[in-house]
Formats: sequence, C-alpha cells, structure tokens
Amino acid sequence: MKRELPVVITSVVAALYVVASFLDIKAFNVMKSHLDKWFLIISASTILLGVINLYVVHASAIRRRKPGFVYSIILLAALAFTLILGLQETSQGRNYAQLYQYVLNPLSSTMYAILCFYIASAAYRAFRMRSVDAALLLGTAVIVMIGVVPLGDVLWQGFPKLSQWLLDVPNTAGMRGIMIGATLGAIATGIRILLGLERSHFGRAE
Amino acid sequence: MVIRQGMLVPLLIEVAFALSLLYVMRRTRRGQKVPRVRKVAGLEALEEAIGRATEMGRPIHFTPGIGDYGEPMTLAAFTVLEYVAKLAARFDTRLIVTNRNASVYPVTESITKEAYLSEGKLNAFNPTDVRYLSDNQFGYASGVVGILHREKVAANLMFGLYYAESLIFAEAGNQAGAIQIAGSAYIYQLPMFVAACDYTLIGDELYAAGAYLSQEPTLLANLIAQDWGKMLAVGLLILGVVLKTLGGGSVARILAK
Amino acid sequence: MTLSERLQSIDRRVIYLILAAVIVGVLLHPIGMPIRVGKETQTVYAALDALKPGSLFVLSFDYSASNVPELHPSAIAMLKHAFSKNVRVVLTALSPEGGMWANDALGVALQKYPDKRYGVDYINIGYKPGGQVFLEKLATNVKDACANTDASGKPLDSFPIMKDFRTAADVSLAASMTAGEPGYPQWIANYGEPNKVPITAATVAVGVSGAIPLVTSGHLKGVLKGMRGAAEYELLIKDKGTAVAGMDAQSLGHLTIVFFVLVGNIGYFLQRARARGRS
Repeated sequence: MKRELPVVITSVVAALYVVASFLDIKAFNVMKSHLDKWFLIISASTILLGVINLYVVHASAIRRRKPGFVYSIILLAALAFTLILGLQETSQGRNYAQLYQYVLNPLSSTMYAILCFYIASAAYRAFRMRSVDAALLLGTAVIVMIGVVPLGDVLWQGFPKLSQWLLDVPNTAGMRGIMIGATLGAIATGIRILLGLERSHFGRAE
Repeated sequence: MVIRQGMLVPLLIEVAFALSLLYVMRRTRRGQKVPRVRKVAGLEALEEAIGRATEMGRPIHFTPGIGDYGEPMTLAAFTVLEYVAKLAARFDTRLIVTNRNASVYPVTESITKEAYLSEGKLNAFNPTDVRYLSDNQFGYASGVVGILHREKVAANLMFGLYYAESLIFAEAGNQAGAIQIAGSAYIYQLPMFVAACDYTLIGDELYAAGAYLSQEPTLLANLIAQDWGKMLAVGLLILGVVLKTLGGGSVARILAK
Repeated sequence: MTLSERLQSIDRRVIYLILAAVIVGVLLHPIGMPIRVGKETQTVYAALDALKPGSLFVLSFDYSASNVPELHPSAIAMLKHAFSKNVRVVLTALSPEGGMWANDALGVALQKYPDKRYGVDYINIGYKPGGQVFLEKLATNVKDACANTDASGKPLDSFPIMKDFRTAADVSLAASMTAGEPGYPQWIANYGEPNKVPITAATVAVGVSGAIPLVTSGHLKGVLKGMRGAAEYELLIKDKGTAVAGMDAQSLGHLTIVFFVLVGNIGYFLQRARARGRS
C-alpha cells in the first residue's frame, strides 16, 4: 500500500491535468486550479527542509572546525539575519528590498559576468581543428561571433549575412530536430509516470 | 466545443502516442525481442567516470539541474542519479549531490539513501553529502563552484535543466580536473556543455537514460514508440514542405485545429 | 615547453586578464563603430510601430539582475517607443525580480514622457507567481489572475485602463524580455497562440540560436538579439542608451576570444607539422 498509494495519486492527478489541458470542462478546470495552488504551497513549504539541511551541514562544519568553517558561520549568520528581517518587514520592507538590491543583485550579476571569461577559456580549449567536425564547429563559431557584432560589418559586409544564414538555416534545422526529439522524450516520460512505470521521482530505488 | 481551441490535433497525437507506448510494452511483455539500442557515449562513460573517481580517491559531484520537481528534465535526471548512487555505493566512492530547488532536495536525498540501502551500504551514506544550497540561481552556482574546487571533485555529472550556470559549472569542473558528463534537453545551453564537457547527452538522450541504464525491456520498448513519433514528425515536415512548395494547404493550419 | 605547446596552453588567467583589459578599455574609450539594424529588430519595431494610439501593449520583464545589461535596454527602448506612439502599456513580470525592473524602466521612460499617467496610459501589475498558470488566467480573466491588485497592492478596479483590459482579446501585442524560463516560450504557448495575440521577444545572446527557429516558424513576430538587438532598437527610436554604448566592448570582446581560438589552433598545427616532420 505504501508503495502503491503515491503511484495511484500521481496517476489520478496526472490524468486530471491532461484532461483539463485538452478539454474545457468546468469541473476539471476548477480542480486543476486548486491543484496548481497546492503545488505552489507544497513547493514553498519544502524550503523549510532546505533550510534545515543548510543548518545541519554548516553547524556540523562549525562544530568540527572543518577548514573554512568561518564561511559556514557567515552563511548561517546571513541566513538568520535575512530571515529575521524578512519576517519583521515582509518582502516589501525598505531594508529588505535594499538588501536585495544592493547585496544580492550585484552578487548575481558578478556571477553572470564571469561567464564572459569562461566562454573565452572554454572556446580557447574546445575549438581545435582536430577533425572535419571540429573544423566546422570552429568555422561557424568564428563567423557567428564576428557576424553578430558591429565589427562584422566593418571587417566584411558578408559576415552578418553569413552569420544570419547560419542561424536561420543550419541552426534552425538542428534546433528543431532536437526540440522534436526532446518533446517526444518529455511526453514519453510523462506517460511512463502516469502509468506508474517510472518511479524514481518518488525517491525510491527500484 | 468541449475541446480547447487548437488542441484537437495535439490531443489525437498524444492519445495515439500513449496507445503506441502501451502497445509496444505489451508486445515486449509477451516476449517479443527488444531491438538493440545504439550506444550513448555519455551514459557508457558514467561507469568510467565513477571508476576514475574511485581510483583517485576523490568524490563525485552530481547535480539534477535547477528545474523544479515538475520539470521533465529533472525527473529524467533522477533516473541517472539512482544509477550513479548505486555505483558510488558499490565502489565505496563519496557522492556529493547538490540541489538548487527545495522541492527537489528531499527526493534526491531519498534516491541516494535508497540506492545505498539497496547496495547494502547504508552505513556509508552521509546525509550531509546531499545538500540544498540556495534557491537563487547564482547563489546555487557559486555554491557548486566552491564545492567543485574545495572537494577536488574527480567526476562532475550534470543532468537536467540548466540556464546560464551550465558553463560556470563546466568550467569550474574543468579547472578542478574532473571528467565531465552532462545531459540536457534545454537547447540554449547544449552548446556550452558540448564545448566544455567530455560527454554530452543531447535532447531525448536524457529522457532515454532511465531505460538505457536499467536495460528494463518494457522501458527500452518505449524508445520504439518515441521513434515512431519522430517518424510521424518527419512525415509531417516533408508533407508540409511539399504542400507549401506546391502552393497548397498548410499542415500547420491543420495542426492548429 | 616548445612554442607550439605554449600557444596551446596559455594560462586561463592570462586570457581573463587580457579580455578584461580590452573590455574595460573600450568601455572607457569607445570607438563608435557603425551599427547596422538587422531584420529581426526591424520586425519588432514595425510590430509596435503599427499599433494604433490607445491600443494595449503588454511588456513582460522576465529576467533578473544578472541579465540587466542585455535585456533592460530593450525593455526601456520598447517602453519609450510605446509611449511615443500613445500606445497604452501593461507592465508585468514572470520573474520575481522583474517587477522591480519594470519600475526602474518606467522611471527612465517617464523622464522623457512625464505627462503619462499611471492607471490611464500605463499600469504595472508587477510580478505574479505561477508562470504558465498565471498566463492562462491572464488570458481569460485579468482581474482574477492578478488577485485584483497591481504591483503596489492597489485594487485594479480603481484604474481606468483596466476597463479596456479584461482578457487577451483586448491586447494588440505582447513582448517578453526573456532570460530563461518562464519567458517567451510560455508567452507563446499559454497566451499568444491560444488567443491569437502576436508575441515578440528580446533574449540574451546565448538564447538567440534557440529563438530564431520560433521566428522563422512565425510563433514569434520578431526577436531582439541580446545587447545588439537593444542597440539597434535604440537607434530606430533615435534615443541612444546603454546598449549602443556597450556595442564596441562587445565587438572587441568577441574579437579577443576569436584571437585566442586562432592562437590555440596555430599552436596545434605547428605541433602537428613537427610531428609529421619527425615521422
């Protein structure tokens, strides 16, 4: 029973969702709307489990004086501070918003900006003409990189046209192929779950 | 009209697809031989990657991506995690699983624990090695980068949905000297993985991972139905091109009914 | 270590340093390279430009702080363009931070169009959770989808613009400034296609290759491609902003990466030639 109940719940809810997506029946629409809310509530409540895990991992690091345990202290202090401030002011509060805008936003932007450098080092390492395939990859990468920036126009008027053609034709063909395959794969996964054939998402090894 | 606008053809296709899945599975259960599935280099390399980590005495890192529990790619990543966790338990190699999504974390923890249990190594399971890092995308990314460097990870396994952090993870893994295997159906990040990883599962290969790794005949039979779906898509594409070229009706218009 | 080996194993920190120096240098001393307006940008511009005064245009801020340099200039430029055409604008967001960036974009656009009135010419319904579920509801019942509140929590009923904004049928055009998901794929599938609302998008540069197939299939009316798309839009509305300023840096940044790729390949071929010579 313990094994079968989650499968039954999943199958029933999935079937309801499928019906509500294709058919416009009021009773199903109402049920789907309720289930959407439940999903949001359950997802939000799992954050508590995450916070407990963070505490356990970092409290253990502090207790054992693991190398770098100072960072664990900073993390737990920041977590507690943000939590208390959020509870006190809510997310609309001035200090809370400033914390978001002047601490979290610049940190996120910094991480994203690192990508610029990582793209450079990854391209330098990966684009070697070791084979015909690699040569094609290198050639298209160089044409597109130059063609999509104003420099392409300055160097040779053909760069933007060639780059646009690469994006419109071979790229579109490849992307659509992957999209079709991936969509079918996703649908097949959904149907397997609906039929109770795939169960790893219940967190149990079969 | 009870059927939603534009949903008639998708409904018919979906029903046909589900029926064909059931048909091939029934056929397999009755004993019909399952065709051989082509080798997927990225999945074949999983054992090699875990073996390498074992030889080096360094940990494996697994991330199920940043999608939530309802994301199909995340669900597909769970099947890979199950396989990886079992091998890690068998080889007594440390496995670190990091999570971005709080709704995914309890599932990955449970999968890992059950895998250790099924290998009779529950004592070797360390709950603090399955970690929730942050719901913030780049908070999670920086946490993973730190772990890859500090723990000197020997194998970096990335399966599921990824956005901009894909290259951040792959480059950090490369700097740590890890063998890297990635799998995603999110087309925007695939080029990053292809450029920076040793092996990449592209698109539907990720969804086929569960069947491929388990070698369960009924699941493998699923792939036949997927191929039928692809053939139908290719057929419709060709028909559409021919009709459009001849100046006739459009397949897209029929599909939009 | 031989020259060929050296060329193939340049320390990544050297690459990072040179790249940073080039980008910062050009940002401080712009060259002013000419920018040609691409056809996708022109299509997006034309779609918005063709709207009649008083039509409703939905602008969705589906990005967070990290994507601001690439997407925020597009959002500001489209907002200014809509105001200049007397098109009414509904600002919304599928990203939690998007509501904040919508306010920021409004702040910039209103400096140029100070006579625009909140609740009459434009409204910010802010970030609403739920992604595709929210979009489905927004298409059928705006008030329900937004729990009858705008971004600041005021009742939607109290604003005149809401009399004409009840369902997707009232909307002439929607644009999603997309960094990931939810973004334009959801706008197309859950809002545009079922309700015949034309959708345009702006996307980050790495997402361009994925957006183009949807432009050629007609699901997207057009796409603004990263910072370049924003710069082109700024030129079309004759209002140069941060995107135009960033184009030189992007050009030379790309050139630097191509340079290192070529250096690596020269090293590789030198090594191969030497190995052949030996054998």
